[in-house]
Amino acid sequence: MKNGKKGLSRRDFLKVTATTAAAVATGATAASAAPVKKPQARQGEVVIQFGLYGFWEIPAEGGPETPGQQAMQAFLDAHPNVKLEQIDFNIWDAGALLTGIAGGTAPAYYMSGVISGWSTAGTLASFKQGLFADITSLYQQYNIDAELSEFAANVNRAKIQTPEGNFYGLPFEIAIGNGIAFRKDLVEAAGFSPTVDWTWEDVRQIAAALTGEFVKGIAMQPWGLGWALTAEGVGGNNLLSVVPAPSTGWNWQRDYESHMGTIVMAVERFRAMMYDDESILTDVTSNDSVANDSLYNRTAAMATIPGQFLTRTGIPWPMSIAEEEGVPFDEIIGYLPQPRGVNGHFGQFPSNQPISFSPTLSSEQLEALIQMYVFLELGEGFDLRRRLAFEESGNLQQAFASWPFVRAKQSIDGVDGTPRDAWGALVDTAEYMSGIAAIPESGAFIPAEANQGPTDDAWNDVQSRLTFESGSMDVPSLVKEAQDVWNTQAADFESSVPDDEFKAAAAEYYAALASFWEEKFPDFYEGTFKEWYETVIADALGM
Amino acid sequence: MVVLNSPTDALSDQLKNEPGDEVEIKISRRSRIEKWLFLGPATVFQLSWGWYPMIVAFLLSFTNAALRNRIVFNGFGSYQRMWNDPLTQRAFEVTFTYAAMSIVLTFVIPILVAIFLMEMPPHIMRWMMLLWFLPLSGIANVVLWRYFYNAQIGLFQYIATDILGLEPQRFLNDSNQVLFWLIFPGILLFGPGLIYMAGLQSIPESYYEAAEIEGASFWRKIWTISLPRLRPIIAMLLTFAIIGSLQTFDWPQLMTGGGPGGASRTVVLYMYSIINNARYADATALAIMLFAVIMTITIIFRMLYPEDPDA
Repeated sequence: MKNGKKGLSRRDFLKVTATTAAAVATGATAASAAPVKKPQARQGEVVIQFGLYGFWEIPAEGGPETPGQQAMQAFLDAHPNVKLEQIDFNIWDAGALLTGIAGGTAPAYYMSGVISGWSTAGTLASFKQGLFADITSLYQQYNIDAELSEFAANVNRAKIQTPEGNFYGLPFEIAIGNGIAFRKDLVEAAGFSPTVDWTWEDVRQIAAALTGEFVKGIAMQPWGLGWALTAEGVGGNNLLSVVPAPSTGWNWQRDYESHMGTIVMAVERFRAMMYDDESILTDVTSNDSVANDSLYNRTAAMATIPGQFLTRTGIPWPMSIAEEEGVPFDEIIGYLPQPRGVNGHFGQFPSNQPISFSPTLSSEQLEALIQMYVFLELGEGFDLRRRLAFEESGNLQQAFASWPFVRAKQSIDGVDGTPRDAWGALVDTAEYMSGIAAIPESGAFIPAEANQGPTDDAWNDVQSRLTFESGSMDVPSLVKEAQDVWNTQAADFESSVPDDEFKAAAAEYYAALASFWEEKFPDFYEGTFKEWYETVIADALGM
Repeated sequence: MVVLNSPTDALSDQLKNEPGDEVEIKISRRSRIEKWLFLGPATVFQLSWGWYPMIVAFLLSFTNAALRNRIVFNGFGSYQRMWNDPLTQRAFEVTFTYAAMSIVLTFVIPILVAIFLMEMPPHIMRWMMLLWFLPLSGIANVVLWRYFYNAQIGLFQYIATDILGLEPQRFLNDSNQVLFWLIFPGILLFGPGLIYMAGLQSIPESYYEAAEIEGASFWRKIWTISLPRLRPIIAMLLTFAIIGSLQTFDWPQLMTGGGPGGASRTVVLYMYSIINNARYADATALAIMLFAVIMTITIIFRMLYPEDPDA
């Protein structure tokens, strides 16, 4: 008893409650402020942390279950000092990656394009800002170039190696280029037989013919208008709309007015598809996968998708449509590169999508990762994984998924078959697109930028309005507004590249471009590029 | 004054001698320790997770905020850049428009609904309250509404065209309507209506009886009794609503990504876009600008709208 009263007094109860709550709050504060768990390695052990949604699988605790896990287990058996941990980190989240890299909590590897905007210049700039590990010595030590296909080694070389010779990435997935996948059976039934030389006018006619009550002719991402503009090389940050401006702080400007007629033509054609033909399936709420998903869901007969999606296995990739329909892949799915522009321009070149490594890794961790890459992507581990996938499914496409391979050897030990056996006529399209050869990129000539610049929001806003607003629109005014906004933004940025250095490098870059277009696409060169190069570019660079 | 221990005899004598004066009572050492034990964790938490990041962000806004390279002092460069950026102005316009619409639609309407609900039979009121207590997953909510609004296959399009016989609607694809449609789900969720109902129930019935005797109409009673008595609650919730609506991010980001054409890109959404371009200094400068705007609006509101029900 206390103070003559039985049991707990109100004051005592409140004290106990408050003390308990304070203790819990203290614990929560301490836990939340605790250092992030770093891999706890025993003596000689190398612990590597993988993020979510990556490509290399960690063997299950009860033993490897999938072909990918079995291949990884084989690597771990050969390297018993290497331990893998899964962390709850989405490697496709750009913001999270930037924060993780800054804070030292990023997973071991990620696609460099996620934080670089998938461009070569952006990737180089990210390396210069210290967002990727320098793997030069390891790259040379393991002689990786000798194991790569010529395609993988040369396409977008600057995405893995700086002009100064530093390596910061490894080729991981070869993209043959962006194109349009379509239901070949439906297209042929409608009386069309498109070829690699098709145009956007052809696409419009086919899409209109295939549009029905429950099916749209073509599904596109919310920024699908960008495809049509890229075909012409105009708008956004496409070739003819980006001009060097060494007299400004940022060194670059947008110039949409010089080719306004082409922009207006492409926009009006797209809007005719949207609002007259009503043949495009897209929505502002859609994400990037809407096109591929719509093709799989049979709500669209065509879809704008990257080439590498074609050779991915499982739902909702196009290959699964053939499996569900029970017909050979190349009888039901067709794929062609994105159409050319009316001016002869071609905008969808093959690309290399490399992986890079966290700059906070130790040399031991980096070496283990390089060894892992060599085993799983270039060597025995690759053959093992693909052979097991084939044996499990009996499907050659499982063995030759994500073809073409980055490694030089395009066959698989223990699998009796070729890519053509797996993919049929698709191989012809892939070979055509990969044979176009990579266009020279600014990142390979112009020193990497250490500072960040304006976002693409100004153009994206206008592109979005041009896509989703019906009725009459003053396209030239809107496009000019996007140009002016971007240039206003750029005026407040300062490039890290000195003007003289920039001018010399840019001159070299545009000269390489001129040679490329003249050799590969002479009609575009003679009809459009040459005059632009000799007037606009020459003036800008004082040539 | 809180008296934690019995006053001493000397103090008792002082109280007897000076009953009207404020007497400073000494708090024992034990009570002081208890006080800081209770306050300590919350204080540490607030300082470490509230004030420290804010101060660091403020300082970062004057640098280049390099992720891994050397951080360099940049003065007001980021502020100037964001001030000159046309998209910053647009983002603020969108934010103010969104906030104004949101407050009118999701703040004012629940007050009226709560008042009308109080007039309903008790069983109807209980059923309505049951509906509002149903759990709703946030992400599931967003996914559902994205489907509802889809201009081609969405439920609302079906209702508009097949049931109501209207022309096909653009919903979120229309830059003139997108903000309304983003706010619309909030109207249906009733918001703070339950808090208003609790406030209304605390008003003595005698006030309304007296007003009826004087011949006051229904609306007169609302205006002279209900709303003034709800003033403290309204003032508090409106402050939160103003701050919250000016910081809107999740629904525009998840539903439209700021589109179409930037028509739903709020300031915080633009900040997110800049952060994803690794322009941390610019993002923090924009955050400080937004903070200054919100603080100013909140102070003005508090000065213009006193909480006192009898004001």
